[in-house]
Amino acid sequence: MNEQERDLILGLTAGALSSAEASEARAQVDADPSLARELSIQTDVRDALASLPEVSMTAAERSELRSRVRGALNLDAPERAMPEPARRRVSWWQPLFGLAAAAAVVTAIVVLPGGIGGTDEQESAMVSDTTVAAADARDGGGQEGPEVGTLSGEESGDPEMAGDVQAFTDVDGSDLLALTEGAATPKDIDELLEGAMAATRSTVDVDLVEACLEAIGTSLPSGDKALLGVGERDGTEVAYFAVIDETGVSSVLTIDLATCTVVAIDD
Amino acid sequence: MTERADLDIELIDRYLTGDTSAFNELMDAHENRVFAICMRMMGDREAALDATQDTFLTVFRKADRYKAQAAFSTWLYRVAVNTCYDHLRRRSRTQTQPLPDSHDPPDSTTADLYDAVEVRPDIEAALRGLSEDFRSAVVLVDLEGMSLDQAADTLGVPIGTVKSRLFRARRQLSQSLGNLAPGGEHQSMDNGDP
Repeated sequence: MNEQERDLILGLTAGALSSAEASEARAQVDADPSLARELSIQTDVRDALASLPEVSMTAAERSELRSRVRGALNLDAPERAMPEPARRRVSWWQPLFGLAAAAAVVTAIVVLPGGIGGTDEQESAMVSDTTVAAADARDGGGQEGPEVGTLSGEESGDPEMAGDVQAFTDVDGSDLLALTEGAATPKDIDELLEGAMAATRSTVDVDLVEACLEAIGTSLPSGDKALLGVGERDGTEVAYFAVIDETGVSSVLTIDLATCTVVAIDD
Repeated sequence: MTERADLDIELIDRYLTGDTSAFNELMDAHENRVFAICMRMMGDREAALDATQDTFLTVFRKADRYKAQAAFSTWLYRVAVNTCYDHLRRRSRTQTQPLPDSHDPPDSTTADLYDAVEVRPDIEAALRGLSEDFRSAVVLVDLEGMSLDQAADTLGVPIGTVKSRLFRARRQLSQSLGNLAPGGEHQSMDNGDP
């Protein structure tokens, strides 16, 4: 069966044809036993699926959902700070710095220790002297979320910015894991990455990273998450995180920051 | 844009200015369908509720970044599908996938719904046997009634990809259900996405 025949069957079974087109398609199907059989198969499955009872939430489930979402968004607080306009949005793909300029940039790994799978011990070991992302850096204000810090942070002047990270090209999580596996500290990671990859620097939006990790939840691999850098995968902006446990870097997460979903976990 | 889409844009604007009633209106309009998508994708109510929650958290937290170039619902359902993918991957990593019939429903009203949804366990089981990509195409088009175009927008893939996935998914379901196995001459379509 070729693509045209497949489209014809789908047109008939997905209601995508006008009545005239459907009549014509039907005649074509009637004249070809293999098409007729395929139409029968596809129609039977479609009808079987349509016979499934509709799914809907119970009142209790609806109430629980509302309660959870309102709570997480802090909607019931007397003074709620709403998400601010898109001024915080950082285009990571704006004119990237040249490699020579990049070499002069000091800042590197951003660590997200709190609440996202890291232990208290790991947190205290990982958090350094420079903490960015003050309270006003949080979407929705007052939300509980991971504190974001930099280990060798270069203040950008904007408290919402964590500073520069690597902007990778033609790199995926497995490449980054191969380079950094076992490294125990962000400094070690940075040294391993330095010069090993074709990368420029870009500025990361702490709010975005924080909100994404928070949205993904606590079921990520345990350990501190160190933001290795950003990149592009299948046309979407992604962030790469090293997961650092007691053995050092044990896996690399690739997170789609447009949808806040895990694209890949390389371990 | 449809009337619903225009209203959603207005509600998002109101939400961003601190109007919490807009939150309720958006939830009223969309929560059931998001839950239905998640339920079909995840296969059990508790997981579907978690995925629905995460979907709305993501959307409301990023509401300021929503660009009204596409319908809010398209964006919302896209986040929902991706959130379900994410939850499914995490579940498969931990190998603790619960089966719906092993769950005690939380209350009697929910029990009725369990019975209703599982009245065709063969189809439910066959759905769970599909790959995530195939399942999402079937869920959006055959169960949620989206057009092929809408499904393509929601999934962020070309329409040809949706067609291919839907066609092959239905064949796989037919074979899983046992009574509609296609003949040998049909196997030639079972190749990769266009």
